[in-house]
Amino acid sequence: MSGAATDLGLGASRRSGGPARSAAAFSKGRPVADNPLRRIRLGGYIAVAVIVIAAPMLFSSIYDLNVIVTAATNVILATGLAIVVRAGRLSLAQATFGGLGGYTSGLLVMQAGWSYWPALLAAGVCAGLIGVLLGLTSLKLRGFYFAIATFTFSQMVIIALSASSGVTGGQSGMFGLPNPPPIGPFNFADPRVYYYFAVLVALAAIGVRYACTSGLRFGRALTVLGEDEVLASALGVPATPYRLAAFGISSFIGGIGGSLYAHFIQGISPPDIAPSVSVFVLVMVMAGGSRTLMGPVIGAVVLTFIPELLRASAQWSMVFYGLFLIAYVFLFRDGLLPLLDRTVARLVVNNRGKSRDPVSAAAEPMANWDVAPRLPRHAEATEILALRGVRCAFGDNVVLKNVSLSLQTGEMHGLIGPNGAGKTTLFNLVTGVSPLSGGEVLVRGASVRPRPATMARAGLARTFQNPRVLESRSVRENIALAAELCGRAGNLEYLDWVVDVSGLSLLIDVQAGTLTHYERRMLTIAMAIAGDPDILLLDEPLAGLDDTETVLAKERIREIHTALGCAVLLIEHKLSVVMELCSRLTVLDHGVIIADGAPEAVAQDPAVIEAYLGS
Amino acid sequence: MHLFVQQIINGILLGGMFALMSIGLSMIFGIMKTANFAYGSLYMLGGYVAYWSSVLLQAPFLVAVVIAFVVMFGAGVIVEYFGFAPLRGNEDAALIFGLGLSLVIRGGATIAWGSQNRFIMSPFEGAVFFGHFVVPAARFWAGLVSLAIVGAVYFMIERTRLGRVLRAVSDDSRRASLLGINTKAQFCFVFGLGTALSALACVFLIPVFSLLPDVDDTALYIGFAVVILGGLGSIPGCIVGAMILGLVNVMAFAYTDSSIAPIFPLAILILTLMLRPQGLLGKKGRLA
Repeated sequence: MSGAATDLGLGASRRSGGPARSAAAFSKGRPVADNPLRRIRLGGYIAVAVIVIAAPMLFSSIYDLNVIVTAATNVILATGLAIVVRAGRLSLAQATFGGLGGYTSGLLVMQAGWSYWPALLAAGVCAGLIGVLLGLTSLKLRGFYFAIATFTFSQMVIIALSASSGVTGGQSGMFGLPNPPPIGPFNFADPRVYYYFAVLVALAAIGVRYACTSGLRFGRALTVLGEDEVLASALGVPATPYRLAAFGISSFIGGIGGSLYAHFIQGISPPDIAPSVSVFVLVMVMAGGSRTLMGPVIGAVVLTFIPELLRASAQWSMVFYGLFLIAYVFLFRDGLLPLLDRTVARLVVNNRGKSRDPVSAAAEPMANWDVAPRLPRHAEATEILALRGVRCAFGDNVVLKNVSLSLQTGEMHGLIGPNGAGKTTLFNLVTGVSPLSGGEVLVRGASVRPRPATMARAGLARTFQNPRVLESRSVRENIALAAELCGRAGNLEYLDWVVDVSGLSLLIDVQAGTLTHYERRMLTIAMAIAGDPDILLLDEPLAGLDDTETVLAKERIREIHTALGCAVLLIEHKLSVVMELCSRLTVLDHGVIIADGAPEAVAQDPAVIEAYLGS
Repeated sequence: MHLFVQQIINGILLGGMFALMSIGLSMIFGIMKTANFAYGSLYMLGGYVAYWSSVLLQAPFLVAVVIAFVVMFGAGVIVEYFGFAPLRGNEDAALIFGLGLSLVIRGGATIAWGSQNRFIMSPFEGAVFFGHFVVPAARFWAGLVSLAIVGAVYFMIERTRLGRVLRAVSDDSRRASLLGINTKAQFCFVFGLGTALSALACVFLIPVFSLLPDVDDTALYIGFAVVILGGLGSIPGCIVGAMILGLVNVMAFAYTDSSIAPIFPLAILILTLMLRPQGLLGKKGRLA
C-alpha cells in the first residue's frame, strides 16, 4: 500500500491515474516463516509412526498385546465419532454402533455361516444404516437433547438385545466368535497380526475423517456447519443431509471398529455397549482434541493406556476418567494435542506472544481497480427477485402481511422502516429461515420455495445484523470457505479483488475473532460476495460504525455494487446513506409496505413521515 | 378388573415416586437451563449421607433426612459455584463436566462403600389397605411426600417473591442482573435446593429403589425422561410426565413380557423427543 496510508482514497485516488494494480493479497498465500515448530511436529509424527510399528515388539506379553489391540480399535471408534462431533453434535451412542457391528458380524458368522470378511462389511453397513435412521429422527435436536436421544437409543438397543435371548444370547451375550480366517501367511489368531490389521483399518478411518473435515469440499462444509449452522446455511450448505451423511459414516466406522473388537476378544454382550462405554469414547474424542485430525487418536491411546499403566480397577478407572473430563473442561478445552502443541511452542519459541500486528482495515486505502473483475452481466433490467403478497406468521403473531416487492437486476434497493417493522424477517423469509405462511417468492420469474441452501445456490447471498464470521479461522480461510461453499473456489483473481474491495488485504492472516467491529462487518460482506452472487441482501451493514467508518463502508458497498452489477437489497437505518446509495426505497411498518418508489418521493410521503416521527 | 385397578394405583404411586425423583432436576433444568448430568450421582450421594448419619451418628430417620438435606444443599452450592457457573453459556462443556463429576462420584462411592445394597430403618413398614386394594406403606408415604414437595416447590415458584425473582432469572438472567438481582447467588440457591431435594427423594425412595452406587443411572435417567416428557421448566409438567411414565412402566410390566417391558418408557421418551421436543406442557424453547 505504497505510502498512501493517509490518503483515504475516497474517489479521488480512483482518478489519480495510476496503472491498474491488484494487491493480490489472497492469491499470494501466507509467507512461510522458518518455523522450528514444523520440524518438531514432523519429528513427533515420525516418532509416533515408529512406535506404532514397533509396538508389538515393545509390548510382547499376551496381556500387553491385548491392550494395544484394544487401543487400536478404540482409535477406530473415536475417529468415527469425531466426524459427528466436528459437525456439531455430541453423540452418546458410538459404543452402541460398535456393538451393533459386533452383533451383526457375530450373528452372520455364527448362525448364517458367512465368512468373516463380508460379515465385517455388513457390520459397518448395518451400523451405518441404523445410524442414518437414528439421525433422521433426532438430528434436528441440538446439544443436550441430541445427547439424550442417542443415550435413550442406546438403552433401547441394550434392552432389545438382552430380550431376544434365543438369537443374541440375551444378557450374557455371544461367546466363541471366531477370529477372522487367515489371509495367506497372516494368521489372525496371532494378536500381532490382529494389531497390524487394526492399525491399517484405523489409518483408513483417519483417512475418511480427513476427507470429512478438510480433505473434501463435503468435509469443509461439515466443519463450517459445526462452527456456525446459520452461516453455513446462508452459504448454501444443506444442514440436515450433510449431518445425516456424517452420522452414517461415523456409525459405519463405529460398526467396523466394534466388529473387529468383538472378534478379537471373541465375544460380545450388552454391557459392552452401555451408554457409559459410549461416554468413554466421547471422552477420548474431546480430550484428545476434536478439532484436530490426530486428537481423537491420541485421546483413545492415552485413555486406553493410562488405566492399564496404573493397574487400576474398573472403579479407579472411572474416577480417573471423571477427573480427566473435569480437567479437560477447565484446563485444556481444545484437547490434549493442541495443549502439547502450545506447550512445545512456548518452550521453543521463547514465549513470543502471538499479538496482532497493529494494522487496521479502516486505514487501508481503496485499491485502484480501473477494471472491474467482469462487466455487469445484464444489459437491461429485469425482475430478478419478487415477493407477491407474502405473509409470515409465528403462531398468532403475524410479522409480515401481504408484502409485495420487486427487485430489478443491478439496482440498489433500500428497505427501511422503524425497529420491529419486519425488515429482517423479510430477509429471513427470502432466505428460507422464517416460514412462508402465504404468498409466493419468485427468483428470475420462477416461483421457489425458499430454503437456506437452495436460495444460496440460486445466487442469493446475505449478511446478518450481528456479523457472523468463523471466529477461530483467519480472514483468508473465512473468505476461501465462503467462496468454495457457494461454488467459486478456483477463481483466485476474483477473490483477490474481493479482499481488496473490502479492505482486508492487510488483515488476510488475522484470526477473524480478533477483528474490530468494522472489520468484521467488511469480512461478512466479503464472505457474502465471495460466491459472486446475483442478489445481495445486506442487513444493516453500517450499524455500530462511527462516522469515518460509515463513509468508508458506504464507498466500499457502492464500489462492490458497481463492479458486480448485482441486485442489492439494503436494510439500513442511516437514512442519508440510503438516500445516497439507493435508486429505490421501500418502507415497511408493522409488517405492511407503506411506501415504495424513488427516494425523494418516499421522503416526502406523509405516511412515512408519520411512521418515523409518530403522530 | 380388580387387578387392573390395582395396577392403576401402582402406576400412580410409581409416578409419584418418579416425580419425587426428578423434581430437583426439573428445578435446575427449568430455571437455570443447565443439563446437570451429575444429578444422578448427587442423588445417590444424598442417600449415602443419610445412611451414614443414621449408622454412625445413630440419627433417627427424620434427623438423617434433615442432615442429608443440609449437607447436599451445601454440596449443590459448591458444585454450582466452582463447576457449572464458570461454564455457563457453553452447553457442551457443562454437559461434559457433569458426566465427569458423575463418574468421579460413582467410582468413588463404589471404592469407598462397596457396591452392596444399603437400607435405612424406615418408619414406614407394612402395607396400607384401601378396601380390597393394597399399597406398601413405603410407596404410599413416598407418594405423599412427593406430592407435598412438588406442591411446595410449585407454591414457592408461583406465589412468593422469591419465586418471582427466580422466574425473572430463568426468563433472562442478564436482564435480571441488570435489575439488581444477584443471579449468581440465585443460581447457587436453586442448584443447592434442587440437589437437596434430590437427596430427600433418595432417602424416601431407598425402600423402593434401594441404595447402591448404581442407583445414580436410574435417577439420572428417570429424571431426564420425566423432565423431557413433561416439558422443560414446567413443575406441573413434572407431575404429568412422571404419572405417564409411572403408568406406562407398570402397565408394560403387567401386560407384556418383562424382558421387553423396559423398552416402552424409552420409546415414549424418544417419540416425545422426535415429535414434541419441548415436552407436553413446555413452551417451545431455544434448545430444541
